Amino acid sequence: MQNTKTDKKKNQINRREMLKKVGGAALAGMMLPMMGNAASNNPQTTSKPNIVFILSDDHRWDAMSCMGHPFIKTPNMDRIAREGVHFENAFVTTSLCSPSRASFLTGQYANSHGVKNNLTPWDESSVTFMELLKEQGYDTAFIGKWHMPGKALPNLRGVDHFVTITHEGGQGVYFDCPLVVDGVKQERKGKYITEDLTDFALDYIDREHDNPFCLYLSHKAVHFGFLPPKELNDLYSDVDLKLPKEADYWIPYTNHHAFFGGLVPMNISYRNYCEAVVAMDQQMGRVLDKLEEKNILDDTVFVYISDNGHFFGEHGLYDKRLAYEESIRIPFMVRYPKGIKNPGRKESNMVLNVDIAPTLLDLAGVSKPDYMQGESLAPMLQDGNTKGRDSWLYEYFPDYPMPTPGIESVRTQNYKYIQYQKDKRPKELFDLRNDPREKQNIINTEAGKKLAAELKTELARLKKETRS
Amino acid sequence: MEKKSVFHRIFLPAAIVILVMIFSKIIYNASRSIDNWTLHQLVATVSIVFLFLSHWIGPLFANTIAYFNGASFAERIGVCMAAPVVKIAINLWDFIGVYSFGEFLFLIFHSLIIGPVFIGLLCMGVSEIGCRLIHQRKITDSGVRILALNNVAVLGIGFSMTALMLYSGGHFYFHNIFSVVYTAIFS
Repeated sequence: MQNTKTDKKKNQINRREMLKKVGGAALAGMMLPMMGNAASNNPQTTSKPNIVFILSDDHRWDAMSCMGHPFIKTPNMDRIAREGVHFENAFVTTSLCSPSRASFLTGQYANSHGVKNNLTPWDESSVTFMELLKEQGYDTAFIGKWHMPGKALPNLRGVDHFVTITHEGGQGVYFDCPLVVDGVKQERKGKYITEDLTDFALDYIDREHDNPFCLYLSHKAVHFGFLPPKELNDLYSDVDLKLPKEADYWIPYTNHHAFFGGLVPMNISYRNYCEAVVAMDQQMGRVLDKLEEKNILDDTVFVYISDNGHFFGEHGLYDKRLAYEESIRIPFMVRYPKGIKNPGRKESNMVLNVDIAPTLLDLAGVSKPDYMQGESLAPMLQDGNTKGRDSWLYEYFPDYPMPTPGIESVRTQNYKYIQYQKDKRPKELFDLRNDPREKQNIINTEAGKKLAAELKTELARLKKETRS
Repeated sequence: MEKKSVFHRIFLPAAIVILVMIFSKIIYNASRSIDNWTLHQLVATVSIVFLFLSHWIGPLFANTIAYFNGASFAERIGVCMAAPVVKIAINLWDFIGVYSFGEFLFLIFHSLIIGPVFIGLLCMGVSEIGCRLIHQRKITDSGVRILALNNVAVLGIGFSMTALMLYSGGHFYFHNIFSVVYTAIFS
């Protein structure tokens, strides 16, 4: 199922046939401004929009003011939600950095793209959506965290400008993080990583582009080691953190959590996390300002999303990986006036990280290759009544040397069934309507037993489907 | 110095640390069910202090008790290693079945698995010097050497390995070496 070069050739043959369709899509694109949005002064983008894709790390779905967080203020994320579509039920198919990042790029599940954990290498023959966009005439830049195992730097086909991190195994650090700029290592003394990467992004947007561009801005923030810039250091010093009832400050030190790193008391790490989220929001604002300044904001598909969530004491947990909502649910919003009907909409359909690549290709007028397993969300952007998927598969593959066993789960709008490798933990079933915090495992109730059997069948079907 | 019974020389000092470790872990995990936030935090914090003392510097106490109960040097090593071995066993329990047998064995080189052994040796080395000083001065036993080959070796191994594990970011740096070796062997 892997999207190898051979598969790509097949797709290229298909693509010839599809050129006619692309032409049609371009025509449709030209008609989109008739949906009532501002016309652009940028002549290049009548058919193909620019794409700015901002990916954060470990940003959970509810850590934004537009999700009602008790104290975090994220005016720029709120703006994207207000002027675009906010997917409130967005999830990752594997809640771990490397697999999730590979899913964004390839539109595939971890089992297909092969990056199952943080040690399995990125397959150099994998085809990213950026490579496909490049073939369709896009200028492309990847700026920020790559963080996939394999060679320190991948041969990232189809990317014109590649700024990334190799420091600390590709994780980077918040301050003074060296970067590799088009293959040349640069020291970045005195720089805060979120701002530094944004500077590179702004510089890229500022360049003269004869073609539409795709900017992939991949932040280190807000991964652990959470640190805000100095000016935000005391932003939330005095607020009540409102940690969950079952949390305490020492969770990161106990019950195997030390394996995941981040040995800082929970209250300190959560405060820093929230401040780092605000810093990221501020930097997102700079990108929006730059696009406005260049008068190309409305010609740009602007996407904000995260690679997975994070526990801060829920279920007595820290880190991510497990199939509970705090881990698998992510912030996801799209602003693109020309392709969105009724902006400011909250979309409740369940959407996945594997949907990103097909969606961006679709919005650029490029057909989805066969190997991509996600679905384009463009119809959902254009029509608030589009029906989404009924269920989806979550998988976690053991990530040496972490103690978390393999996980398989199926989530529907109302229920979630979870089973663990070799039954290392009891099977779980949650009624998400009545128990959104997943506190009551109902698998041993009469109704639960019946439902679990159905969901187990659905799990098997989804596994087969995603491996075919 | 009087050589007391095996119970006092070996079992008692080892058991004190192990029991503190186990009970404080049970109490810590149970604290999550306390509804009152302040009480929950208080119980969690007190239990975590005891858990940490037993995890990381338990051998400091265990060795001191064993020393003054007349345990031999070999017995004292056994006493000091008892709690780390129990901790390793508890840690490894959850890994059974998750990885292959070879990967499971390789886990022993992870700093969080093997770390308590070296920190235990460091604690024992520090305790040995303190005990020998007290032994020499208060019990006026001139035959006691403060810095003998055995206790200096224990201190040296414990200190150097702990320093290596904590060097340049501690866990993360050591973990990178661990990951490189793991990838070379198992990929």
